[in-house]
Amino acid sequence: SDVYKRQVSTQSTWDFIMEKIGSKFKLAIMTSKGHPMLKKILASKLDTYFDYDIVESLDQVKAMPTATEYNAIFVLTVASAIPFPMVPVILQELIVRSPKLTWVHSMSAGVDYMLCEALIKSKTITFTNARGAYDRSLCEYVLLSILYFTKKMHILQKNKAEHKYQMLLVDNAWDNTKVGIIGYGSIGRNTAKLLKQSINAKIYAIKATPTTKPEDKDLIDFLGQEKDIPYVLSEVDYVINILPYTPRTKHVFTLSVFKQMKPTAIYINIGRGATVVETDLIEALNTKVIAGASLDVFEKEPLPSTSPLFDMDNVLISPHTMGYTMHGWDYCLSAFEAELKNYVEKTPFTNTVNLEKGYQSSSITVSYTHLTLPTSDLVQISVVAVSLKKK
Amino acid sequence: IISSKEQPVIQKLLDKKLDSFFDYDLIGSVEQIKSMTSPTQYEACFVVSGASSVPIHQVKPILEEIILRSPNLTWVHSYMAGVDYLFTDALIKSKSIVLTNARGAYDASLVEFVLLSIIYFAKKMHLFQKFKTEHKYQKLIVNDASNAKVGIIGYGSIGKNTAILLKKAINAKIYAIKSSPSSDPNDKELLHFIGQEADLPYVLSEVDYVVNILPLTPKTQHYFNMSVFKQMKSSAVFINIGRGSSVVEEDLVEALKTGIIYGAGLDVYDVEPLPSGSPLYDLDNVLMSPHSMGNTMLYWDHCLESFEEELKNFTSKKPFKNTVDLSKRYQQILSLMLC
Repeated sequence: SDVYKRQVSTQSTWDFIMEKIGSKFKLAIMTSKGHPMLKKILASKLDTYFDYDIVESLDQVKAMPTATEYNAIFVLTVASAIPFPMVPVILQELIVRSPKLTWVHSMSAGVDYMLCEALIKSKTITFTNARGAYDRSLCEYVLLSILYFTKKMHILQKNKAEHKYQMLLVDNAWDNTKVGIIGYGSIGRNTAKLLKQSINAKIYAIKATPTTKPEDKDLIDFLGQEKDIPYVLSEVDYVINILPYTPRTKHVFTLSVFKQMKPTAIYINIGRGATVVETDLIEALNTKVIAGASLDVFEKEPLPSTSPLFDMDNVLISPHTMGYTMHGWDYCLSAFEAELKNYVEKTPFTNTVNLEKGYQSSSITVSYTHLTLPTSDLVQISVVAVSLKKK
Repeated sequence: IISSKEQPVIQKLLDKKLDSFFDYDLIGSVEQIKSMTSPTQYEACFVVSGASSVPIHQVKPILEEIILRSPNLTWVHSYMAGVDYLFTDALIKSKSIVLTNARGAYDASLVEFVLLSIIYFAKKMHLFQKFKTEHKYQKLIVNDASNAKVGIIGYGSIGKNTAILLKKAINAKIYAIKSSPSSDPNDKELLHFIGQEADLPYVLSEVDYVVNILPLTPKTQHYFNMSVFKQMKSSAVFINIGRGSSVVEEDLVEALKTGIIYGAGLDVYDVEPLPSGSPLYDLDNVLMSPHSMGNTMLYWDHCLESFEEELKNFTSKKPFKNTVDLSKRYQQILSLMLC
């Protein structure tokens, strides 16, 4: 990943930049005080180059003047005290109050949870994200999941709980594993790299369009589009869902899709919970349509304690945390710093999210056919805002 | 054949009709051989006890009795590369028996278990598994397995392959402990540090993961005890793919319970099967395998291939491919026992 090659800028580089631009720009950071990333930003003295305000709540934004001075917004809401449903609401209010705004940067790779009308419709704002920053950690979770099930650890852990010692035959992972990557982008590419290096897996990739990078030639054994999904599902031992959440990918994994998988196959989701019909996944597991699952994301997060998923021995549950490691914050910082440099030097951003053409401008995975969010999602957001006010 | 009927190699052997070359008896216990008429007619002995009902520590006494009762015995074949487990007096002292072993059929799957254990604990999966039983959804910040510092204690063929995989997969920094200095020039590139026994405290104090691959000898018996675990970092994980008897198991339990070490990935135990009363079953920070991580069809295919090769040599009176120098090993055992 390019992220690994990013170096922290030297003091002299920044001094040179500051000389060029002359003055600091105004940045709104949507986060909570004490956020670990905020601490890293301050420790790296990046605040030397911008004046910033911490934006913590909708009330705070509503108390602002009708025209703020903000040139940029940094959305740092994951692992903050700002609840997920409030993120697009706060962002919307902040954007409409900020006529000088030209840049919004997301600390996460996935951006579905923060999309608001003002951001989508804007012609003057460039939207960037931390694409690639969390790839490494997520890839390792995929490898862990594959090895876990290959070595029948789900059966052995169950035996352990019953104090049962019974030898069983396990499988070699090396040169013996076929993996389907549904939604092949930055994370998919890095996953393919790791799986090739560690277990010489055969990679079947599904992308919205057939365009690839040169390095994909050595990584992908079969490249297909949406129409090839049934073939891939029928072939592979592990299905990895890395689809972004867009109107087109909502609830695409249904029972009939799980039925296309091998009954010995394992489903891994490190993308978004909303691309799966969770009740169908539960049924597929209950009726042995598939052999197991490893999940980092869920339709509803936090996963309610009543979910049947908690009681399934053949399911690994991670609370949407596999992208976030101590190194993840470092890569996140590097990504922010890189785009910060692009912003002040007026050079092209590295990772823009182009909401008109598709999800990512550098590697188009899914296309929007409309510019607006589906009405139902807007209605959901409004309802949340109203109920909070009443409290 | 020292084994039992359900053993995968025995099954394959029968499927391939290799028994058209020989008459055979499956010997599973000392009592069984003792109950036979003596002397026996056996000319050869194939030891394939792994994943059979014959425990590894029973192989020596069974083989001893077979050799004492079998004047025509000239060949013993070990299913695996390691041969310490069958070094019985009668074998070492024999002037007429040739010992062969399996050629480099290394445990690829065993090495993958080391990688699994490392990532499992790096991602705190043991904690999430516990939360799962409590229906609890709680975020924790997890760690990267990349660039982990890994100590390999007992750096032989499996150790080398472990180092290769860990370097490739997670760019691990490998600290190896070998009984004698390395003669392989590739080790310099592969390993961050290579030392001998005197360097063990240094390695233990440095690494995040300690992998035991020591063979079982009088010197390595009960080697890993509380004082050794205390030299490890409290955040470190102990992974045992060597021999269970190299560990003082109650010290391991205590170290895991009291946070002296962070967790353990275990494929072997002092007593196998591990008795149901063992406290290890109840520890959340233990990833437990019933000596099954090397139990793959691929491994057994390799074992059978090795046996078949030597069988062909034996029946056609050609030289064996992979002999073990008994006199040299006798000297080694003697010197070890004198330590």
